[in-house]
Amino acid sequence: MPLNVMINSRPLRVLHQRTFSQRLGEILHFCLGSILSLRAFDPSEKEIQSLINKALAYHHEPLEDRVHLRDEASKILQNIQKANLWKDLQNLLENKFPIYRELEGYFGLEEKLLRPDLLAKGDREWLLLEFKLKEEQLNEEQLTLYCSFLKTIFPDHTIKVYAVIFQPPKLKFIKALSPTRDYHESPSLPRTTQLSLFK
Amino acid sequence: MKAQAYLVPPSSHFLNSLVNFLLSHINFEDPETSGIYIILPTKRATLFLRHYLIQKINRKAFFLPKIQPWEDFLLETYIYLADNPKTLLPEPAKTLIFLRSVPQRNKLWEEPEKLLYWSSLFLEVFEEFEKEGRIPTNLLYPPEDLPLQARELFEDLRSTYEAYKKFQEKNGFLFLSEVLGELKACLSEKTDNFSFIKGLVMAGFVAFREAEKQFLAQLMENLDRLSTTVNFFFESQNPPPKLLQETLKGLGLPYEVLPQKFHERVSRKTRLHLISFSDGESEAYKVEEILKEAQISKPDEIAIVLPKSSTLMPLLPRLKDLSFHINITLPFPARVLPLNRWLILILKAQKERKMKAYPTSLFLQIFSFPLLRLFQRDYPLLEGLIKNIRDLSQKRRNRFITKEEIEENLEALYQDSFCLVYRILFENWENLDSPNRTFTALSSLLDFLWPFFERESETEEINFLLTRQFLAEIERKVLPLFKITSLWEELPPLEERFFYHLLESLLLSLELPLYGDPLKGLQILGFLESRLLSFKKILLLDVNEGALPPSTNLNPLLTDEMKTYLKLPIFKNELWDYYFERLLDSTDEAYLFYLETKKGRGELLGEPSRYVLKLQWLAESAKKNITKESIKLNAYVPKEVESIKKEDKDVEALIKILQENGLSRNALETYLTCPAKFYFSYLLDISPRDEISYEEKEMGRFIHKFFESFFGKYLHQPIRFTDILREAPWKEIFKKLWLSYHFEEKMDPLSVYLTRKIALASIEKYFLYLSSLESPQSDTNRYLESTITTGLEKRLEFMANPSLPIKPSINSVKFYGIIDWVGLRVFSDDQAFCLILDFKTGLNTKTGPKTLSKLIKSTPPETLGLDSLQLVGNLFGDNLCNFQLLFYLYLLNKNQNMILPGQWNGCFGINAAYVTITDFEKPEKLICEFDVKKSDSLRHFLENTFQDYLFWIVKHLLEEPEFHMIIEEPKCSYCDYKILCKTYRKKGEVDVT
Repeated sequence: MPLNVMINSRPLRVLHQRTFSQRLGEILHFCLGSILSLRAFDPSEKEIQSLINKALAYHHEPLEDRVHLRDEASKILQNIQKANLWKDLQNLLENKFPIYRELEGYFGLEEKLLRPDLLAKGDREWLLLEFKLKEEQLNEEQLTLYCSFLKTIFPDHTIKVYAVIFQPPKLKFIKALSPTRDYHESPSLPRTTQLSLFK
Repeated sequence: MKAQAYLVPPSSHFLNSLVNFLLSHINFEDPETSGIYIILPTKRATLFLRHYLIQKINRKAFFLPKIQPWEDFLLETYIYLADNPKTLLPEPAKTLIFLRSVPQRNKLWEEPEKLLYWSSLFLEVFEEFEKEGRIPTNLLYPPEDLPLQARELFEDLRSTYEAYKKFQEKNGFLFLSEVLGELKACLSEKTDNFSFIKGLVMAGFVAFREAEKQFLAQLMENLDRLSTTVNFFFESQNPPPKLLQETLKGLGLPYEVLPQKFHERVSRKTRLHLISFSDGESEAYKVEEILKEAQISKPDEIAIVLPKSSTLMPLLPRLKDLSFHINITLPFPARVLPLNRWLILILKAQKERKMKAYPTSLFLQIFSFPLLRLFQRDYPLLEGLIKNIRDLSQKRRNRFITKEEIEENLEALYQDSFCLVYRILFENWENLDSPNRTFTALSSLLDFLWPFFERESETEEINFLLTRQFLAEIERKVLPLFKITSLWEELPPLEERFFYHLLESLLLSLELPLYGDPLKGLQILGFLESRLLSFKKILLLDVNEGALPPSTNLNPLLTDEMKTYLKLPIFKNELWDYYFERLLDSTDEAYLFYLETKKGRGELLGEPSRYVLKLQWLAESAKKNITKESIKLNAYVPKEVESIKKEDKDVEALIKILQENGLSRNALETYLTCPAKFYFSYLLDISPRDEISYEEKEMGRFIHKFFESFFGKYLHQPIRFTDILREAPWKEIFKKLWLSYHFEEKMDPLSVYLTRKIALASIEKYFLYLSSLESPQSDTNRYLESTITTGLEKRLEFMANPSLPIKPSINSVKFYGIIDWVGLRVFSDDQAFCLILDFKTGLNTKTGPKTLSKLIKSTPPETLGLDSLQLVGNLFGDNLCNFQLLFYLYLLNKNQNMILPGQWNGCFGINAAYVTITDFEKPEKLICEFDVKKSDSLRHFLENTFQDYLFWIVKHLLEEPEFHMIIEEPKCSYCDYKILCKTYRKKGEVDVT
């Protein structure tokens, strides 16, 4: 019987396993996530470049496409800032606080680890934003899962899910779930028996 | 808020105890949890912690804190804090930056490839300084025993380091190992640094280097200002060991034992088994035995901990019949992989290339490398091409070979395939005098390998997975170096050999980071990977000095003495003591395997580890029993086969050989020496592995040819060697023949010169000897009057009818042989002898006149069997020394008219001799003296009994039920079939692949 070994394979450029688009998507995720979490809707060119550099710093090898990636990311972010998407995002995130980036959650009902791109708290409402480079990359099943996850934790809140598409820039509403029960306790402590965060 | 430290006993299950603490202090339904950072030393520990946390949190959905290994935390923090983070380069790029930082003067750059060697050692020195948060200082008086290059580098250590850092700064480069230094620089510029951290847990650390301590102090100060909670958790009993006490003191941490309510389990004693073994096979065997009974339902059931990653390879085949998955997390040395070895051969061929000619042996090794056959499906003609090239090179036997030579002689069918493969494996690698060319060569090879890896991308076979990891590492760490132009600017002009050496050192130093899924199946991990983890059962292998504790890396620049000069800290084994004790405390049951060896006798491992000895001593002192077992070689060693059974088809094949091909002198001698060898060579027709350039054989052929040419001039003419020497006609023959052999293509120039000189001198000495025979001898007045050559390179054969009853019956057998020289020696007393000469190169060639006398009086044995065969063999002298000459004399006797018309039965004697012209003292070894009486008895033997011996051998060949294996050293060591024979003896079958 052959040896039953599990070694995680690294992606190989030879087999074109990590594409330019994937890398570009990761860079844009990082940049937009940073901008939105700080609600810095008027970043300067220098700040944008700094964010792109930070995103590129996560890619340890000096990519041949580094310059190209930087240029493309820069262009797309500029386009986004000029598009309606930008205004829509500002409006969406107005009065939302705090905003969390790439937090990790566990959904026991599905036994899955989840990492929604951006989560923003509103008045009895949670807003989830998922970033995608192109609309066809949207996975509605995944977004529904995020929705259910949040609903389980915050049954008394409205959960709204949006997709932020980079190319072409677009904000797409996916779904909303209404609250299931009325709660009178403070929304930051859904269970009164919980201790405050980390004494 | 001041930081607090907790001590968690290893036996309480560190990670789960930590989880219990976190559960009582964190609201996991609050997304603010994502701002709590839990930092552990290893990635594996973070995965296990997350796993336990998920298991224990009793909620349907929840948020998780940021659980990160230390390195990732440093990197993320750096990227967060730095306005423009620098580009992270792969570690091998350090070498190039070091090289360009070295002062471009003195002798340092005369041999850049030597600088490569020193670069890796000096980079370690830099790293030691950086870990202490210091800048290297010049060493004004480096130790005298260091080589000149090293001393010069030490004298300029600081400036080299500064140039090294300056280059990095200027180009915005950074290495993962240097992130901490950059972070410190960022911290000093910013005040509100860590507001993104809502809580910090540092779990499982033991000791910090100075630079880490400084960073932590700053971090804690920052968090204190923000009133952020900071907790440290150390895996330790109370009181903590000295090492930990120093850490706690250094960080100013108050500590207490973690309250019992958080302990996952109560402390209990570990069941210990000490298992000594005599060899790696026994160790692997016992591991397999323990695992066979195991059930693995959880990831923390069983782990195999390997202090030495080299033990992985003999272990893996033992695990193939296990039903569960195996996860390996170890740094694996890439140099043992076939693909790596192939690349090293390719580079070696380039280093030894002369213009466009490659050393033939290397050329063939590269072309016939087994990996090339993986591409058979994509390039169907490969197999045929390889065979063609091999045949070509064996025919030409040149030391060097060129593409043109092969193309001229290759069949048209293979030309295109040859050009393609030659380009990928040879042409692309020529003239690598720039980083671009190096990049292109390496990329082309990877592109060539692409079809195979695409096709096999789903394969889970381990060799494939390892090779794939290796390719990934080349793509990540090696290829990019040649595209970063700033690394190569302003370097002194670099020749090809530098790039070959550079590539070679990069490939040899590559280690593959194998990551499995730690949450499934059996875990095989390195010793340090086991930190903080608690398994139910641990199999800890190689608990010997050198492995555990490990022997320190032998960097001659970082000996204890050098560290004293450089004012660097010297560490002993406290850390390893700590890790070993915590590993045992953390598990329910531990099996410790150690090689039972006396001091200094272990080749791969030292004597049993001090840890083993301590455990034994502690157990004895406490009068406790410790389970001890000694595993002797438990591998199944099958009884070796001693002969090859003779089947009916073998007998049929033998009869065919006898009747169609006949038996040569070589075949008969082979059978007498070893019937199994006869079987491999003549029945299975397996050609022995041929040397491509075998100088001795070439000389032998030349000498044969020379004498053939020389004596051929005087066929049937009486000659005197006194005249030959005087007129020296032979020198012209020698000269022409030498030129025609093109030895300069087969040997190096010095060998050509020496060989020619020796050959000339030897021939002259031989002729001198022969001419000395033409003078009256001291004991008699007899002298050689003349020599007449009657035959050269003569093939003689004879169809003999069996002189013994043989089953199955055969009509006749052909015996044949090729005689180098036959002729007459006429002596002054009118006695003429028919003489056979056979030219030999080996100085050990001899005849056995005494044995011959015994043989002449003997008859073949009545019985067959191995003993009789060996008896007959012995009758022909040591190593059958008399057989060949007697066989030739026999054939000559049967072909008298052809060679010596009307002269054999006269008053002629007969004789035969081996001629070794390099034996100046006695070049001719006669089978007997030139004495008529002795000659007569010899002739009588040849005419009567000798044929009986021949047919006795034939009878043995046909009737004996098996081909015996005659195992005799040192003969077997030089046998062409020794590996085949060895394999057959163990397996009972022939493997000709």
